[in-house]
Amino acid sequence: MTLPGGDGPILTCEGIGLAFGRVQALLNMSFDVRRGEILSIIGPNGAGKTSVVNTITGFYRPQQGTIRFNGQDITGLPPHRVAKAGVARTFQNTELFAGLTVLDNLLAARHIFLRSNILSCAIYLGLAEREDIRARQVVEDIIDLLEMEAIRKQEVGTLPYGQRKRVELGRALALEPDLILLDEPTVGMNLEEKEDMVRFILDVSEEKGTTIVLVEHDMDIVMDISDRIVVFDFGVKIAEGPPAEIKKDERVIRAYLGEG
Amino acid sequence: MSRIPFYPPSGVYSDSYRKDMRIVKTGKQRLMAIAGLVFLAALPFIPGLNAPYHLRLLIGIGIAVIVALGLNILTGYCGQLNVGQSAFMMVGAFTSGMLNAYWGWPFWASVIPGGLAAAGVGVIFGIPSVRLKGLYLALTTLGAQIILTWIALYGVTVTSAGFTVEPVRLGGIVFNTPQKFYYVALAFTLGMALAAKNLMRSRLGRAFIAIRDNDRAAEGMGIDIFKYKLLAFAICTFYAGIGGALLVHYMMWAQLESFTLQDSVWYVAMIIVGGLGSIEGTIFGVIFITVLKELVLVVGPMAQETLSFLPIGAASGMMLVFIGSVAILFGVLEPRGMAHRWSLIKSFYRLWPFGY
Repeated sequence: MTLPGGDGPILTCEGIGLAFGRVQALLNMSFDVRRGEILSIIGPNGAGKTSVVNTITGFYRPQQGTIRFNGQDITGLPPHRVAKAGVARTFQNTELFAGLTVLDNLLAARHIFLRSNILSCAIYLGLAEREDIRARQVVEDIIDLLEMEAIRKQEVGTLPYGQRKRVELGRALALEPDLILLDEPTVGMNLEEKEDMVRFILDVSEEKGTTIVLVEHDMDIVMDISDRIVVFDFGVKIAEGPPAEIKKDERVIRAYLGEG
Repeated sequence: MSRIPFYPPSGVYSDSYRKDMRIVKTGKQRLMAIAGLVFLAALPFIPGLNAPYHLRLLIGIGIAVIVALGLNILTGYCGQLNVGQSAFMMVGAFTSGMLNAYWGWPFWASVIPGGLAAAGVGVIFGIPSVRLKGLYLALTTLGAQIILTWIALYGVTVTSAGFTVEPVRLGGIVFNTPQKFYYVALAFTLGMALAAKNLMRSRLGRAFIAIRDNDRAAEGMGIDIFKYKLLAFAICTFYAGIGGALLVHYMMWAQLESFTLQDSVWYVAMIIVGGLGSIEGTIFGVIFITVLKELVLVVGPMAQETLSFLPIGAASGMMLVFIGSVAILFGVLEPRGMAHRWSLIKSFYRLWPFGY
C-alpha cells in the first residue's frame, strides 16, 4: 500500500469550468486527490458535487480546465476510456444491470480485461471459458470481501436497496481501479447498512490501497473516515483540509454545517 | 426478462467454476439432450412424422429460428429494436443466391459471404443507434426494410425478377428433397443456436445486456457502447443473412416476395411470444407462431366451408385476427414469454411434490 501523499497526487483537477447554458455548475475548480487517501467532497445541494464526479469520469465535458490522472490527461475522454485508464465510479441513484445476476454484474465490469474475440466467444470452450474462469476468480474475491456470497446468483433487480449499493461498489471494484469515486454510497440507508458500507469502504482503502473520493451528506461518516475534505458551494471550492480544520472553518459553517 | 435462478437438485454440486458455468449440469439434463438430438436426427425415418409436409414445416421453423435468434440477440439482449430483419435476410439470400447462380459458387462457399454481406449492410443501418433509441431506432430499421426492398426491386434486374439457385451438394449427395435438406437445416439451426447461447454467456453477451439494462453505467464500466451496439447489429444481421442463404438454396429459387415487412413483424412477434433475451424462448416462439400460422391455413378454409353463410374470405380473414389476438393475449398474460413459463415448469418439476 502506498502512503497517503507518497507519490504526489493521483488526480489533479485544474481550473475546471462547466456550464449548462447560462448555469455555471463548476467555476474554476481546482483540487488534488493524493494517492491512497480518502477524500470527501461535501457541500449543500446543487453545489456541484455530482457534476465534479461526472466531469472526472467523462460523462460531462468541461469547457475549461484540465484533469490529469496518473500523469495522463483525461480531460474530455469518453467514459469508457476513463474507466479503462483506472477510474471507477458508483452512481447516486444506483445504476446496475437489473437483468443480470450479482455475479454477472461484476463479470460485466471485467469486460476491459477480457480479450476473447467474437469467434472464440461463439465456440466458448477453450479461450473464452478459461478467461471467464479467471475473471470469476477475481470477482469471487470481491464477493468475499463485500460479503455477498448468499446473493451471488440473484438478479439485482430483485435485491433490496442496501444490497444494490453494495453490488455497485463491487462492480466498481471489479474494474481494479486506482481511484474510485463514490457518489453518495450511503444515501437512504439505515444505520446498520451505513455501518456496513463504511466498513467496506475502509476495507477497500486498507486492503487494496485504492484511492477513494467520497461524495457524502452524512457528516458523521465524512468526519470519521476522511483524510481530507473539499467543500463546495455554488460550483466554487470554498475550503479544503483535514476534518478537524473543516469543522472550524467559518465559511463552511456558514454555507453548510450550520452553527452549533 | 427476469429469470428464475437455477437451483440444482440436491446432491448436484458445482465444485469448480468450470462446472458451475456449464449449460448442461445434471446427468438427467444430459440424457434429455442426447435423447432429443437422437429424436431430431431420426425424425425423417419415423413413419407418421416424416411426411414431406411435416419436414417442410420443420425446415421452415429451423430457418426462422436462425433469423429470430439474430433478432433476439439484437432486440432481446442488446435492447435495440429492429423491424427490418427480413430485409437483411434478403441481402444474405440474394448475395448467396447470386454467387451461386451467376458465379457458380457452391452453397458451402456462398453461405458465409451471404451472412457477411447482410452484416455489412446491417452495420450501416445500425449507425443511427448511436443517437437513437427505442421507437426512433425502430423507424430507421423500418427505413432499411423499405430501402433494401426498393433497391432489390428497381435497382437490380435479377433480384426483381427472381432466379433459380442450385440445391446444396455435399460429396455425391444433392439435398434437393425436404427429407435431405432437413439435415442441412437441422445442422445449421443447432450450430447457430449453440453459438448464440455461447456468445450470450461470454463477455459479449454481458456487454450487450449491460447496454440494454443501463447504457450509462455500461459506459462507466469501460464498455464502448457504440462499438458493441454495432457488433450486435452485425451479429443480428449475420444470422438473418445465413437464414436467407439457407432459404434460397432450399427453395432453389430466390424471389423478393419471401422477404416482406410482414415477415419482419412476424419475427418480432416470435421473439416477444417466446421470450426476449432467451435462446430457448426464441425456439419456442418460432415454433408457436409457425404452428399457429399453419393452423390458420388449415382451419380457415374449413371454417369457411362450414359457415357458408359468411361472405367469401371472411372466415380465413378472421383467422389473422385470431393470431393477432393470441399475440396480444401473450403480451398481457405472459409478458416474459414462453421462456419464463418454461423455467416455471422446470422449477416445478425440480421441487415437486414440495412446491413450497
